[in-house]
Amino acid sequence: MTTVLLSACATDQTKQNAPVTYKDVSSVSAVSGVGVESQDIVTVSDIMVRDLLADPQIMKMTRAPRIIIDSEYFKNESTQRINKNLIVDRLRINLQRASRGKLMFVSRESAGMVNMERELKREGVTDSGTSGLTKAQAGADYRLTGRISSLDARSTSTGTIERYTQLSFELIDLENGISLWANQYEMKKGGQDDAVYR
Amino acid sequence: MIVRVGLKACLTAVFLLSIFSGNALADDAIPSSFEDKFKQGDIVQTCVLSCMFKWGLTRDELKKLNDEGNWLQLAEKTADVKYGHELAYYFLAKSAFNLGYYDAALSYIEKSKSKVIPCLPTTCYGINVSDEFSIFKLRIAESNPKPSENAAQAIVSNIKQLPVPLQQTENKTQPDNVKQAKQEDSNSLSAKHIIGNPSTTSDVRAKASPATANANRIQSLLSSVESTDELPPSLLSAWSGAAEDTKNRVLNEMEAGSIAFTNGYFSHAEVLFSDAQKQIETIYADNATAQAARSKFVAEATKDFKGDPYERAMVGYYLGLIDLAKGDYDNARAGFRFAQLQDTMSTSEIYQDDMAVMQYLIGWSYWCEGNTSSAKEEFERAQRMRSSLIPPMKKDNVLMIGDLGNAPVKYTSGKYSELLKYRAGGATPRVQVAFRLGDKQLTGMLAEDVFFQASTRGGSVVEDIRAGKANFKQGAETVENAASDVASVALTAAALSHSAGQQHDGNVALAIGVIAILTKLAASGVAKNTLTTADTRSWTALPASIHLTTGKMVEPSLVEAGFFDADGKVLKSKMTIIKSTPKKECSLVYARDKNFSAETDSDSLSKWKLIPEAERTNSSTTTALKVTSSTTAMQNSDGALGGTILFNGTGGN
Repeated sequence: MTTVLLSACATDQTKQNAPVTYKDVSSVSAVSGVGVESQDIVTVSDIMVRDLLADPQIMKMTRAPRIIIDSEYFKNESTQRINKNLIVDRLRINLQRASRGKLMFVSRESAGMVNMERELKREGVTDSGTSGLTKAQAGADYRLTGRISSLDARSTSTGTIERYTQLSFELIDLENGISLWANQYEMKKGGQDDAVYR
Repeated sequence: MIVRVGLKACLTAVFLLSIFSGNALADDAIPSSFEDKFKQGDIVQTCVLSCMFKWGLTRDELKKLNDEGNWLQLAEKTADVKYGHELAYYFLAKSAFNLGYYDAALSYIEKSKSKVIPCLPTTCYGINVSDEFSIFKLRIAESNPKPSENAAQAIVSNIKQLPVPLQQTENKTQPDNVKQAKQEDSNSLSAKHIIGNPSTTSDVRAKASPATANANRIQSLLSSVESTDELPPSLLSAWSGAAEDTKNRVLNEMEAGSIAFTNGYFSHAEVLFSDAQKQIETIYADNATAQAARSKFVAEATKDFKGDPYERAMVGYYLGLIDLAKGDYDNARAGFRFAQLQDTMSTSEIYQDDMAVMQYLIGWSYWCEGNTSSAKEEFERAQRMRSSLIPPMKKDNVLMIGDLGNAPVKYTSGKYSELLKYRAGGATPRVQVAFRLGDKQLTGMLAEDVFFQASTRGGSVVEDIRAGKANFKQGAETVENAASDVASVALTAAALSHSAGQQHDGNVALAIGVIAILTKLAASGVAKNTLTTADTRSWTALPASIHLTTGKMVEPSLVEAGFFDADGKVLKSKMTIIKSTPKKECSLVYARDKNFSAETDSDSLSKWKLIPEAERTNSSTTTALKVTSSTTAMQNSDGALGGTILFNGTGGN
């Protein structure tokens, strides 16, 4: 009876269960901080794709240029650990689909894999496939480079934290080093954590 | 009326007396061999109703003894009350644990399962007893390197041979002594954890299937890791009983991440620490439990744990090391900068962004990339913070890090336990580390004092909340005491008036007395239910200090760590965790001064040289720290020193 009485007023404030549901990738996360979130990745890759497609220097070349878009030269210099592939993969895939053959994409990440298959063909372990043999793997004309940088500010009196994040992209000519295209995406987020955490 | 009042008071007094005397008569006097009985784990809390009142009166005192660390006194007074409450068994178990009576501690934990009164959020000072018991069992298992021989053998022989954790780069020709050392470590760890936890390894994975989205979060995180390193089930078994609610999610991930990291399971540690970091970075603006924790009637420990700034920073430290080991230098720097950013929460400008180890590690990440100019800047900045940190020599390609000692301990102080204080973790004789690369011995430089970071945060907003709660509680107690005095006077006056035939005056006085009693009861309830205790949850697996050095990598089998006392004499040695980046430009060697698989024999110790006096860590002093971050300090309108800190993510300010 004592237990019943004592537990009568108990309410469990911590257990809040919710079933898994699909969420819109471009919606603001319910769990969020001041760093790069899913909606930012969607936004920045969409902006860059549209901008690249609108650039006449790239889209109106007589021969479809070969481009490498991967994270190898995409630097993270911010205070947030981030999987850079989330950004560059979305950018590459959307660009590839939207460009409809006007751009050719070279997968330098797969060079090792391609090399292995080429060796198998030349050693006679496999046949030469349906497209025949080539002298070498495709060389690229341009490569995407970029950087994520951030500037953090924290007020010790109010506990407000603000972060300015800048994502910059450049397309570099791999023969002469000229920057063919560049763009940047910037955002600033701020928030104030609950007082019990300050 | 006089008779009724008199009779009522008399009955009340008799009732109260019966409770006290019942308790005094029924219970035996504390035996002179109390300590022996306590050590054996033989104390049993059997009393319920008749002890309830005494428990209510004594509970705060017990909490105070708990906070002050007076373990024997706490155990004795708890046993004296004999109240069958989960909190009572917690006090007994904790006292036994801290006094080193591990078997007794486990016995009291077991006895608490037959508890009569369970802990509720408002009756146990916000202590999550189940979590605490899990931690005790884990620590007991870790600190008991030689469990009962028969028990260990019986259990281990039933387990499939545990795989030796592989190094990140495929080192197929791992020397036998390295394999053997790692296997010993792995097996001894598995036995320790199994004995500490009643779960058997064979059914841990079966139990790990989450029934709800929140259940067994750690196990589901670990199961998601794609790695050739098979995590021994024993490492999971320590967490099978851990509370999985959001309140302790980050804390559990920190503790589990430490276990994974110090045993070389970097992929698993990464998953755990990444999730912890994500929660730390989440802004809790509309969080219900955070809001509740600010309430006067809800304990602060109700809030979801994020950790103190030093704990949050150490999450960044471990993540950074994991990324260094992978050769992901960008993200490694992001991890170390995250740590520096957490360190800017200090109100005092002197102690903001003063973690020299993070600065040095940022420099090392540039060094491994071949960016020597940026590396040089960062090393110089680190050396300005801590002069003992010498930059690497040319062609150095291995970073050796040793985590030593015990985590800082949080405790409460103040009349209502509203003040949160820190003290250094339990002392150990091992205060320095050196590494052998073949025949060469390199002493670790003291890179960070974690206790210093913990204790130099300065003021915080949450302290104002705690102070507010304490003031409110004090106010309620003042009302209670005043009302008690009024009631006493009024009832006396009522009795006298009635006896003098002054009916009207007597009734008025009686009414005043009754109102005063009701006020007293209300205020007493308010005071008792105002929960002021500061949150003392802490990351217990952290080290007390971090030491590092650099060198040129040799054959992995020739790399070893030695742990030394303050006089520079070696006490123990062990094989290290070695991770090389995929392109082999850099390696990371890590050692923790725990989980020694066997007593180090004199032969293996003889190869270590005495650490020269000039290189010894003086544990009683801390190298003077200098502020190098650019801060703009502004005084706000009421004169308090505020500040906006600008932190440039590109390194250096």
